[in-house]
Amino acid sequence: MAVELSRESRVVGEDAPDRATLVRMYETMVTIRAFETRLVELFNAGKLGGVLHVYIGEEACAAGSCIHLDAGDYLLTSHRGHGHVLAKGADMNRMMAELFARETGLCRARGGSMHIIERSVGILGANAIVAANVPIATGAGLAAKWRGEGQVVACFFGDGATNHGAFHEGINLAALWNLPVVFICENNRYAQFTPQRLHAKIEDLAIRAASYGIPGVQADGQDVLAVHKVAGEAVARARRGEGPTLIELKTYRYTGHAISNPICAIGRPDEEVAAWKTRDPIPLLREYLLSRNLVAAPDLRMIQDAAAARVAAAEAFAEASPRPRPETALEDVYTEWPAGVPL
Amino acid sequence: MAGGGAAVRELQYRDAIREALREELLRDPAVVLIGEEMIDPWGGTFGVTKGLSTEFGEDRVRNTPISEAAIIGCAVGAALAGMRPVAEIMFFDFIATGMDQAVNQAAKIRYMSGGQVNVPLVIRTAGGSGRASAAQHSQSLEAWFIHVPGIKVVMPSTPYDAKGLLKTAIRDPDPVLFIEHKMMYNYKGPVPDEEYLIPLGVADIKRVGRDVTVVATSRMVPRALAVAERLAATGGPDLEVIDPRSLVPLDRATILASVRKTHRLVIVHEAVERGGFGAELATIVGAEAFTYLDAPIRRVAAFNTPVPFSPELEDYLVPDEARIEAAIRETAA
Amino acid sequence: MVTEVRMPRLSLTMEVGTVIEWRKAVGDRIAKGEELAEIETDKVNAALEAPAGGFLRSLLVAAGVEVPCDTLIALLTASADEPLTAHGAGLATTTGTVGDQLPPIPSADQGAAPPATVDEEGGRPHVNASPAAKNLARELGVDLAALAGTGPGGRIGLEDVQRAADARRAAGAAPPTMGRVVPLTKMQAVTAQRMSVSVGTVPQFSLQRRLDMGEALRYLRNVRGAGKADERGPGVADLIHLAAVRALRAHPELNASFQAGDPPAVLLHEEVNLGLALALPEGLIVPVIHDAHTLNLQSLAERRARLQADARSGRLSVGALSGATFTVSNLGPMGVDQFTAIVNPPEAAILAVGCIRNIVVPDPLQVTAVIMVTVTADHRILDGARVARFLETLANNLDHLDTKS
Repeated sequence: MAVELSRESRVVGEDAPDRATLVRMYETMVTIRAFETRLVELFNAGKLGGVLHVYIGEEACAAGSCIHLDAGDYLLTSHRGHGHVLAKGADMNRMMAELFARETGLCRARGGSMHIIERSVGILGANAIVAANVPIATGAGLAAKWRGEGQVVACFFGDGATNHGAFHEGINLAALWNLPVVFICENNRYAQFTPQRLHAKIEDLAIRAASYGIPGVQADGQDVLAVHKVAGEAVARARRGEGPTLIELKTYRYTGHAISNPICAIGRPDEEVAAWKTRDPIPLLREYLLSRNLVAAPDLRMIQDAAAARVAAAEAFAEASPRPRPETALEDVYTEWPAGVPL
Repeated sequence: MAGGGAAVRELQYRDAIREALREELLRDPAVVLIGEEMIDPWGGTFGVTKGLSTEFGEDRVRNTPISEAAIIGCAVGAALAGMRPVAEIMFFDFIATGMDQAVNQAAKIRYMSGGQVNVPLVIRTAGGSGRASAAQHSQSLEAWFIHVPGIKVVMPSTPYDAKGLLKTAIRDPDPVLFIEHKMMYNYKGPVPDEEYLIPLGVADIKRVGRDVTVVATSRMVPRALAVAERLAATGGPDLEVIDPRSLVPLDRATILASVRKTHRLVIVHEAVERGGFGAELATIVGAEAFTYLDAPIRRVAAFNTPVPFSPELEDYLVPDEARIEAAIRETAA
Repeated sequence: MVTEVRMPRLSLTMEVGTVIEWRKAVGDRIAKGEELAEIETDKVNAALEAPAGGFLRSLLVAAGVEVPCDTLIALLTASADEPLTAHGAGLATTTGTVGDQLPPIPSADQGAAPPATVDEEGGRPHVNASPAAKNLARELGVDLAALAGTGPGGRIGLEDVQRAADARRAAGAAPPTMGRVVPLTKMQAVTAQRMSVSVGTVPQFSLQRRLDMGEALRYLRNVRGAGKADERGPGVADLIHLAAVRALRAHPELNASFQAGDPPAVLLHEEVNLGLALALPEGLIVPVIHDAHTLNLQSLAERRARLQADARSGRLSVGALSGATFTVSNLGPMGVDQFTAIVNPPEAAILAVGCIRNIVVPDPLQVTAVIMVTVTADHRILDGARVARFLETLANNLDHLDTKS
């Protein structure tokens, strides 16, 4: 099967999405950026516990692909999943409450950042085990195919996941059974702190698709239009019953692997970070919209402000929410349990 | 057991399991079987699924590559998205290669989601020794899983129990590990014609007795019963043999009531002694029935070694009737 | 140098004692006067203090086992490792090292494998019995320390306990009962034994007299003044005590003890130590007002009140329970009109006091307060006439309490 390695950085002409779509994607990216930025501030102020894997710099990947998903489609993502989850339509208030470990959180404070699940909008979950979501996405794809209603599964993971056994097993099975799953690798060049050249001998991870007999496609992850194009094609293939695609998006995260760990501050060369920051996806899209007179600057400012307001409202909601009562820790281990038998 | 008037047949353990699978495939279109070598003409390594792919098609009885992580992970995803998958792990030992999906994913997703979702899957597997299959094809690993909150663990010892428990497991909304014994597939026993379910968390008193409570699992149940008959015939202690059937949830009430009656407990399992189910049960009984105990609680289990290839060595490791009887006599002294 | 520790005789009447609990372990360094054990006697519990400092080298008696007074129960040595083997007959041999265990002590019955051994850790004996056996033994009142177990390693099992209970029942020691078996408290057991001895060995007889309390009550009102009576102030009982004590001075043969011998004699006591029978939840106890003959009404009342308070809070010392020469038992406050007490050996007599009642006297017609008293006396040294004269004096004393005795 074909593997298209793309080094194009701009999509033009008939391939470009319409204005409404562009505005929606801009709004999604700006919202993710505002949310994640505020989270870093809150975390450093000691208001959030646990670990935080922040998506800043990768927003175009989530925005450009998730816009193709309907409410009935399924999403699986990784520990760095806030962007996808927001792009899929998660309730931001309840997501913030989850991060604040409040009873009103999406997961009643049981899951935290790495396990955000919102069943009602098809978010089957973020996963803290690298590559574990790949076979699970295959299973969701099996159910989608069985149901026969044209559902699609989007599965996001990073470059490190592509070395894991579960990745290999899961994609092989999805390919074998021709399941409607789009596997999206956000290659931000680092698996935890290890640069790609130290964890894989190859440069372009998309070529791994060939070993499963499925198409592999590559795109510039900072260019939301490029992401939109390749993701749209893969989702359409899946809906048509043509099986899975492996997409590799070349992208970069502007913060360290996790916020909590001091090692995260070390390791990446300053020039590298600076170079990637010149390709910040949000200014890139803004420049595209303004230069083509698709949107006026004040409108963009409005979108920005609205996003900031949403984040502030979510924070207020979370702060005002109660903490879970300790004894509720024993609830929901099982759906059914015989009465009178101790847990 | 069967109600009055119902017809009863002698079935093999493997056939009883197949019947359960077939009945549930018929009943619920969401049920799907996933595993290695499951489809015809092989019908599974132990012949359990023979005929099912022919009857239901290869969309509902699905053959997989050798990929335990994918098998279990696929079952997790399918369960989350509305199906009722029954995954098969051919030999219990292989579950180690799919442990993340069983333990970190299947068992925990409901809890992590705050109760939003559940994972109604079954993992069937064949454990135990006796076929000279050596260390990596002969283990009994239930102790690993009783230690993981969120998963249920079932070990049937008769065709009747296997069928009723498997149907319940498939209908159960939570992940269930259903542990068969590879040496018991040929064992025969009565199975009613009419449909029946056995709930989880209910132990079965396989033999009522006065003097010693013997709790046994899987292949050790028939051995304990044989010892009971021999002791009865020779004027030895009168054994009460209890098969817990599900280890999680565990019917501790039945076991404790028995110990309060007999004042003595011997636990027999094929799994290695150290950290086995026997350790868990002994502690529960020691705590809850302390003042009723007239003798120390004994475990009869496999010695703490891997399973060797040689049949003599293999048989030596696992509790045989002589070893079980010796432990009982010592307890009753 | 080896120091012997023996079961102490804490009172004149103490015959046997039991170590309730060893407070020290073999190998411990002991200071002189430090508490080695808690001892139970027929009267109270007391601390057994080390007669000298040194190292505790062996415990010769297990807790819970009753031994006669003066029995050797422990050994101390000045240094930690001097040998014990040369000391005395019948002792188990120990080597010179500190912390050695002692082999088990033969139990009271047949020399079967004894169940109780001294534990390494705390000097507390470990009973080799199953939890179920211990539970059943507690319910049936079977003493595990006296049992030999037939289980592995001599372990006592349910069957052993049941067999012991059945044997005891068969021997008639306890009446077969369909009801609930409640073991007697130590106090009750002592009373049972002593009263059996009294009735069994002392020929006793009783005399009653009605005491006119009119003058005595007038005296009491004067003494109390205008205020209400309270427990610590003198009461009716104290009037009786004062009158009785004075009567005993006049009739010393009732303040005495029979002495068997050749020839038999009566021991006339110098002082009057007045025993007061007191009922506690655990049983009957008789604390003593020593030298009652030296006390006035107020002091008698104060002593009585203090003894009652100490008894209720369990603070009575062994001394407070010994040395009585005459006992008063008063059931007046409980509404009993009149009763006959049993002599409390080795005392010669006991005074049983009933409750104060108002009766109508026809001639001259008046209402007067009276109390019925009964003296039970040892007929080996007292006869009816002597006791009658004592009662006469007692009655007179109540009319003349204001005179100095």
